[in-house]
Amino acid sequence: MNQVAVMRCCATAPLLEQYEAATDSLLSSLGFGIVELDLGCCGYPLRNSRFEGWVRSSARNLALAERAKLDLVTVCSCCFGSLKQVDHLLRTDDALRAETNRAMEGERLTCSGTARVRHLLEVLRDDVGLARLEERRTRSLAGLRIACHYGCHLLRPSAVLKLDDATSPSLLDDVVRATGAQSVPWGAQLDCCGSPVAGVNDELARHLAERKLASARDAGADAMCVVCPYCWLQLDVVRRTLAGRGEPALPVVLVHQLVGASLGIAPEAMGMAPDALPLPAARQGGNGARHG
Amino acid sequence: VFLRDLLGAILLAGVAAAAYRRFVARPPRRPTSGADTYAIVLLAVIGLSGILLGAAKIGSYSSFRSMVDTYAAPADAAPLEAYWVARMGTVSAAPHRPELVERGRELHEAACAACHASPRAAFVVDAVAAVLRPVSLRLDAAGGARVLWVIHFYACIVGLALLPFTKMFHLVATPISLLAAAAGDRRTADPANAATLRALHLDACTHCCACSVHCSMAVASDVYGNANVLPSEKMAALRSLRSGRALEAGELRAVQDGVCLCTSCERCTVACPSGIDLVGLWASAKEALLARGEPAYALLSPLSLRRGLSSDRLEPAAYRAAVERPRQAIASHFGTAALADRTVALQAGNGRLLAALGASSRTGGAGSCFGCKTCTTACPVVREHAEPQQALGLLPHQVVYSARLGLEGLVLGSRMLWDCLGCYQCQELCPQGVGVTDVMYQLKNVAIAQAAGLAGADRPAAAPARGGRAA
Repeated sequence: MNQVAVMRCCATAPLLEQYEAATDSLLSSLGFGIVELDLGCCGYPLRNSRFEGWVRSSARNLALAERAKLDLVTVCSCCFGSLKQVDHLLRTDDALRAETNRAMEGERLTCSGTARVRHLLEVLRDDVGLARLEERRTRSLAGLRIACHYGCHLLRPSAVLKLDDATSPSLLDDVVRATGAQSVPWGAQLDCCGSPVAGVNDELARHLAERKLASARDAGADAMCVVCPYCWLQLDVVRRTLAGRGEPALPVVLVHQLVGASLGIAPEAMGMAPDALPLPAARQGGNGARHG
Repeated sequence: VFLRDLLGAILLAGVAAAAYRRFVARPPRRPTSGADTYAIVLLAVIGLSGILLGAAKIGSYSSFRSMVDTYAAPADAAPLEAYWVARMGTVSAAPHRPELVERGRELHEAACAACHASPRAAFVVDAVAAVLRPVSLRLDAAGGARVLWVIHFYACIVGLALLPFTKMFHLVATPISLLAAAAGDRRTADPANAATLRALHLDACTHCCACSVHCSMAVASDVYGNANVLPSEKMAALRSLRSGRALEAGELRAVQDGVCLCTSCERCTVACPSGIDLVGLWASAKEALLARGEPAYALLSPLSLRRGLSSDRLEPAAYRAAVERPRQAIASHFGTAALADRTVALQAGNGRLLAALGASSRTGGAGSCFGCKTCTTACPVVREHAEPQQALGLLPHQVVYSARLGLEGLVLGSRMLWDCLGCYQCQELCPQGVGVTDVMYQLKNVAIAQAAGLAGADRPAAAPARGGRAA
């Protein structure tokens, strides 16, 4: 079995149990063994106030993965961005690497650059293969129109992250299509969800999220598919506020819940309500078909 | 007697393990406080003095003598002594008379056995008594048993008397905390009960530091040089606050920073063997600390997300004031208000900021910016405003260009820094390869360090007078 270390984003443990449940059941159904390394925060929230706090937080996680000789798999885009960027900095800046390793001596940890940070979508694309995902599909999500939200830290800065084309990405669209669902073209797929300033400038954060939700709805989507828990929290909070005011608001779904649903994983195992996916009622009877 | 010795041995084994962990092994993130040392020393004194006392009494000839003088006929003294020396561990200076042992046994069984079991059952004390045998007579002559009794007795009394005021109160509070944690769901608990539980939780902490070992922000404790980032240390500070002890301004600031430098990931709560809702404690302490009015710079970050999500449970004015305060503190530190006429002085040779940005791998070099405004065009925050410059102070290209010119106060006091999302749209599109977003992050670091008056961060040049026009 292929073992991986899963990075648990600080935002998912208390607030998004379904997020971790969906990650775990998807990875295990695809034959991955999950190793818990007691990783800490990636440091992303410290970046505004202290560069060293950001670097050393990520570096400690990289060093733990390096020591365990395991790939570090993230689902949170902000964790992914931070770990990748810090990994890049430590590889290219000798003085910073030396200083960081010195700070970790007490824990007998070091970063030599052998740890690999990988996003779940990357694992699906490169290790599992999207063709194989389609083959293994037991339930098509055909008829579901999805607006794919890439957001920021999955793709940018592309010179460092190198996950996909930063101006016209296709990775998330391809994964969504592998579930049988349709990916609708829309204009705001690369825009920020507003979460980085949530709690700091709530008005700005809310506007950004509202604009995204409206844009996806205008494009004819049934739901917006997100990757990062920060995006999910932000968009879902704003969606619920809109819904509470009786305004139209798109449901937000997690990409690993979509993929899991298409592979026949029970909704409860992914922390989902059985009716969470807004599948068109007419197509519900077609569940279980291999093709959509 | 056997049980007493067994429990004593378990106690001392525990004390030894705790002492080893705290004073010898010293693993990272398990800090030892005075309260921990007190508990270990107290328990060690009680346990060791108890065992030595038992051992001294077994060997004590004077104890034997006083019992014989009180209860036995003078003629029975010699056989009893022979038996007690042979079987009960008494150490006598007189030569041993084995022929009297049998007679002594009869007398012992008739008169003494009801109260005095064989010391063999007290396996720890008996072993120590055997070790002490060579010095037993001298120890007895010096009144060793009496001294040990005084030490043992008073250590127990001191421990009991101070129990409600020391760490040892967790003996009472922890079981209740565990019961409460098992019985109720803290998310749905009545607020009044939750407050009572929080008070109880402060006492249930054994300072075992399991929370700090699993703390996702533990690295920040080292980097910021603030022990209060670690949950175990925050507990101690909150206990001081509750007891009404006045903390110095610096201590209070450290506690506030510690409470704010928390991702609310709840790993500490999950790890706590005493069932303490640590994150609940931080949340309630955070608002009380922020209400003091001291700017908390950590709030200008995604660490505010959780507070924002629960803003409906906070008083709206207090909620807003706490996040506005650090912004205002930074703005007033850099004299942003004085720039209302939008003219600034160019100061030759003020290249510190550019040096900090340009030479570093952190920012990709801001020096090659030629002011094409691509970053500003790409910025989603700029797009939010009809009059972006008025709302944001400086636009992204102005931030980078002003930083090139070394206009520290102008750049570092700009509101743009704190509305920047870090979304990397600008950096992705920059034709000159300037790390615009990375520059923003770096400037935020410098602004906070200077406004917070951290060591090594000096004030920028004095507020600029009229002069050249910037970008």
